[in-house]
Amino acid sequence: MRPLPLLLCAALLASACSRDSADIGGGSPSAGGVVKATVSKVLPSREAKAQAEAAQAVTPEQIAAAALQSIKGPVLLATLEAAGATTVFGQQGRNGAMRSYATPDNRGLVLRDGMLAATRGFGRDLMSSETEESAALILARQEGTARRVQRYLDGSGTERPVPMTCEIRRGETVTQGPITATQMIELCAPVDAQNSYLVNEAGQIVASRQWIGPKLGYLSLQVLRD
Amino acid sequence: MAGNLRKFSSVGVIALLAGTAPLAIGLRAGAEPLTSFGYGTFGTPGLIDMPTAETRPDGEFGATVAARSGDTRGSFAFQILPRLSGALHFSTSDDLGPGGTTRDDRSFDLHWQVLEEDGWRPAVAIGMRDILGDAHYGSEYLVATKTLSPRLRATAGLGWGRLATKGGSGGGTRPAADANGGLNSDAWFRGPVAPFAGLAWQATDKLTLKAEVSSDAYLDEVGAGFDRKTSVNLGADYRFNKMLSLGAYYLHGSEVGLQFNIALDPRDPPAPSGLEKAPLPVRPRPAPGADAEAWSGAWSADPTARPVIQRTLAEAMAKDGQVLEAMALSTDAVELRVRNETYDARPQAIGHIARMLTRAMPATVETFTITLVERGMPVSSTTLKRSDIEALENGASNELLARAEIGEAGAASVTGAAFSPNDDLYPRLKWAISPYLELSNHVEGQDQRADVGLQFKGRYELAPNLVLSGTLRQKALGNLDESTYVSPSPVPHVRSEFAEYQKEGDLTVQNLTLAWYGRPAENLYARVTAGYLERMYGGVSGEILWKPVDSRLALGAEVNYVKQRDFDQHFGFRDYDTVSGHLSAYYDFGKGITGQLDVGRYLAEDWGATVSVDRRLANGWTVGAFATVTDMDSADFGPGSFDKGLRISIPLSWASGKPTLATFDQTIRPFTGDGGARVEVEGRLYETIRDGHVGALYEDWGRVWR
Repeated sequence: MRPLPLLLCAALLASACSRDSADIGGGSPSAGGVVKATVSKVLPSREAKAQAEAAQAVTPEQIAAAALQSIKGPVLLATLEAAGATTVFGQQGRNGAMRSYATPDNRGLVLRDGMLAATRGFGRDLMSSETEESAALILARQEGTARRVQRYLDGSGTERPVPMTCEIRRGETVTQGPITATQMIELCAPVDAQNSYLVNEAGQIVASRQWIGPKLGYLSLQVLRD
Repeated sequence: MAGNLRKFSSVGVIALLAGTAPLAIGLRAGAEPLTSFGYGTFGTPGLIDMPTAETRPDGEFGATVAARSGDTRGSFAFQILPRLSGALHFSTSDDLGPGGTTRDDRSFDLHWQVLEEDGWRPAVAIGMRDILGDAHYGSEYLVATKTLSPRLRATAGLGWGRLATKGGSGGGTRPAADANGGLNSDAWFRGPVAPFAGLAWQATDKLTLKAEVSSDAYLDEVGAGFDRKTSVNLGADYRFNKMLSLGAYYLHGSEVGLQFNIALDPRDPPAPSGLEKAPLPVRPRPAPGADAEAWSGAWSADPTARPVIQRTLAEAMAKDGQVLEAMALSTDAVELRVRNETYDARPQAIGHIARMLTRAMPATVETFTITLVERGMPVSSTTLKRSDIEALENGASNELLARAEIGEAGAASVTGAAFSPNDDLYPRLKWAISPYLELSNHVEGQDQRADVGLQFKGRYELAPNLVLSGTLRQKALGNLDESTYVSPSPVPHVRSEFAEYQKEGDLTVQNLTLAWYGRPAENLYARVTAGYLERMYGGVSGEILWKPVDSRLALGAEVNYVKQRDFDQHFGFRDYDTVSGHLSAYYDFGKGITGQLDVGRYLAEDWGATVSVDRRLANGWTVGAFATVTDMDSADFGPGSFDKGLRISIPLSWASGKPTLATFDQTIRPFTGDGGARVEVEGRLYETIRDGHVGALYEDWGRVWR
């Protein structure tokens, strides 16, 4: 046995430490970590506040410019409104109409034809969604009514579908520089979600504001590079 | 494509899209049982001393301390089923003991909401307090609670026993309590009956005010000087957040008390879907026409292909917290033997591997079989079609489940190819050092004591199914060694000398065992554990379990030869040795409820049976209760009469939002005696394999795409 880590461990009474000769996984959370997590649930930490403030200091434009330089392939700029945090997602995989994106710290989101299909790693994720009926109208820039299902893990760990009926309306068409896009609005009941999309003339969603779910609220998405 | 939209100012886009839709959604459907605004002084749904017909959130675990001058009551309350709750109380009352001494009392309550509130009909509950033993609080009640407005609830009920000591009438004489601590069933709902009533008003979201007319005469307390001026009690609760609340109450116009409550709602974890990183996405195969070479299967003739694939996969799985123990690969199918060391929801482990396989396997491999291995024993095989994984990625989890086949894990691979074990995994050494806290058992006339120190846990795996493991403890400070408790038990002291073991803290060997696991035949699992099994016993323990992968029923048998260890918990033994053993039946009733019946011989050579019921949510949170009745005389058992208790297991992933197999486990026994005691052995078979079998896999399947 190596004496040094043993001694160090003994000195670090407050937290557990461990070794594994096969080096599987990233280590399990320590008791201290759990207490910290529980406490942070009760009392919002100053650290988190400070981080959020620091993040605010960098503008979304700066984040976007840096991302386009450092990430190859398709890039999204996303703002989680509830957290006030803006981050970039790089495309990680593509499966038919479905594209998976991930942040540098491996949080994920999945878009299907530009419509939010799933999120991963946000704690209260959208596990999956059925958006085909809405997508057909929105991409064609047509009004109408569509059914939609969003699924979540409830507090006990069981997947629950939330069925919705959505009314799709056509908004104004805006032109900025070389791009002309039509605003499409999707009002979903009974959850009172209001999704909006900017659809270009090729029938692609170039920017959107979509409802992830309760607690997480809205995600604003912009395609930086397709 | 050139959809470069930098010219759109982000801020402009967000402003254009921003709306003001209010957020409101209910993910729970259907009528909910009436959940109480707060807690009574018994830690269960109630006003102050009087009960209500409300419940707590399903599965909630609450801890409460209610104290007034000279009287403290600590309670642990479990909402065992949506409408059934149980509570254990530990109370200390000055001057109420024999001859004016301090009285330490333990009691157990059950509360069952018979009817939910529905329209004009109030919720109705029936309950029993202090079911066992000398029953200082022994009482039963039938109570109704009605919502008058969303913030105002009225309660009225009838009480028996202590709840009929004021204003009681009729019913004749109530039979006396069982002095030996057995069930007081003779007395239940017998004797005089008295009405009680009360109101609870949720003044604000945080503050609840309560008033009640009590039917409790406080006879013992008045005898010791308590001044009961009125039957009216007043109280207020202040809720800091979902977990913590503080209450104050004014009892019978004479005394003020304070109450502190901590509640953990298992259905309200900080991060229900977890904070772990996003899984790797599926990589679909090219169309057969587009890449004829990938689809030719020519790779299978190349002997270097499999080792490369296996090594790459093993590395990716190790990063994901899983161990690839072996792989069998044919041209069109692959089977993996996987030891999941990270995800308490096994389907999440399966889902991660399925997606890794879409990235690692040649295009011709269409069938993926993922065999979960626990302690070297293959426990179940889940077979998925690669085309289904490609087509259903990030869809409804039950669509994939409908196409998955879950079956018995055979010794040979379903692919027809031979398993290639992963080299270099064994021997494997794992160890961890952590602090520990040990509390003394609650014993009449003894103060609560505690030790803290360092704990070393080590595992040396010689092979997947052959493991040497041990736990050492070194006390740093504490006062457990000051206990003066001497076991008064007239039967062999198989458990009642716990205090003698707790006194020793100098590098104790908590356990040190060599354990072997095996699959002797289809549906059968076996275990042999030898060594220092637990702090009080060493010896040999053998177990066999029959459990088809999709069966609700499991049957097991266990035989142990054990010898009592020396108090110092080093390597010596005391004189007592015995053979104990059980036949066990386990049944999965669905909805996470498991029942267990063990019949056999216990450590003090008493014969009897243990009944246990456990309830587990998909997120791993488990609460359970158990009771053991043996042929030992209840007077020989001592206070409490027979062995029983409550247990709880909280997955650390629930609290932290990060996947881990670690849990926080606690068993609470109101009394420790020598009857109905079993030797503790780490890694009993049923608990080892159950999470990998069909019942649990179905329950947890919602995480397969997580």
